[in-house]
Amino acid sequence: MPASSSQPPPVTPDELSPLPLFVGVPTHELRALISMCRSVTFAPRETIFREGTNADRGLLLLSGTVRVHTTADDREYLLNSVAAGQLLGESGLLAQAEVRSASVVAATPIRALELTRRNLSDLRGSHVLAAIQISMLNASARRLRQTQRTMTSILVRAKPTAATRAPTAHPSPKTSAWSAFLNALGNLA
Amino acid sequence: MRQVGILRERAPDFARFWSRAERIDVPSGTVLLHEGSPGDALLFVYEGSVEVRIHSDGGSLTVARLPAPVLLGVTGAVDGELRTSTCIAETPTSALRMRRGVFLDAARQATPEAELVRELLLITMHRQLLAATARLRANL
Repeated sequence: MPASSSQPPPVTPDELSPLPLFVGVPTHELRALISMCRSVTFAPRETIFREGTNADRGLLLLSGTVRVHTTADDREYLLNSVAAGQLLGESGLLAQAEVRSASVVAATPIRALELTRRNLSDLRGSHVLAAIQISMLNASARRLRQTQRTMTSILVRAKPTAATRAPTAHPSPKTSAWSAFLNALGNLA
Repeated sequence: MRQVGILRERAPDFARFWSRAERIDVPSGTVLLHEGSPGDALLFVYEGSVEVRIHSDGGSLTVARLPAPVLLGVTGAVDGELRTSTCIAETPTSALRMRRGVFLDAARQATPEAELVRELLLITMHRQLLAATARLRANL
């Protein structure tokens, strides 16, 4: 992640406390968060996360907007935009690291706080960790609903005969891909 | 959920989190969650099996069968929006049911049990998302 090289001005608790995710979090905990995290800045069009690379950290966006996009068949698809006050790339904060499923590019000048799994581990027992994880849960819920809507629309369009039967433990090769699709949809319950 | 190691290692914390939940024992055929109803509770099914159905073209379609242990209604409990599927007990089923307000209050605490459940839900949702995204890519 090529964060800008010049040292950005330090983040203050006053910048964090108005953010909705930190409502009710004591100032001394915000100060602790700031002291253990690196503050970073990005210029417009700078790549913040690149699709396919190791997801080992997230960002708390303090100012600016980013664009999230993915590439398929050599074409770029804009997935969404993320604005200040939200977490970004938070899958990199989960215990099971994955590769990035999308790229993130700065749309405007960005100021952010970089979070690592180590940071979250050091914040155990704090309200600030609870606030960050609740924010991660909300982001996951939004993505699950988007994915479920897409899967349901595919299901309604496809309507194969196999879909009228419940998935079985040992589907035939012909129906296994469809059963896997249905199971993935069903597991979103 | 069987694959989530932290649950095996920290069962007492998990049980403590659910201490404010009500226990429900239902016969097979009981509707546990209704598609289209508000996400007003989180369910932890610890015994039995659940059929997941969604409405499609005026009928309903079975999309999964989930054996215990399984968490149901996670997304609705987090965001409070409408449920997107119906869950029916396939066998006599036992579960713990926690109202959304109680769940959110408990999940916001700076306690080991709240941290455990937040991590568990994050891992569960992340895996669901990965599995669903993989199927989507395969079907597009």
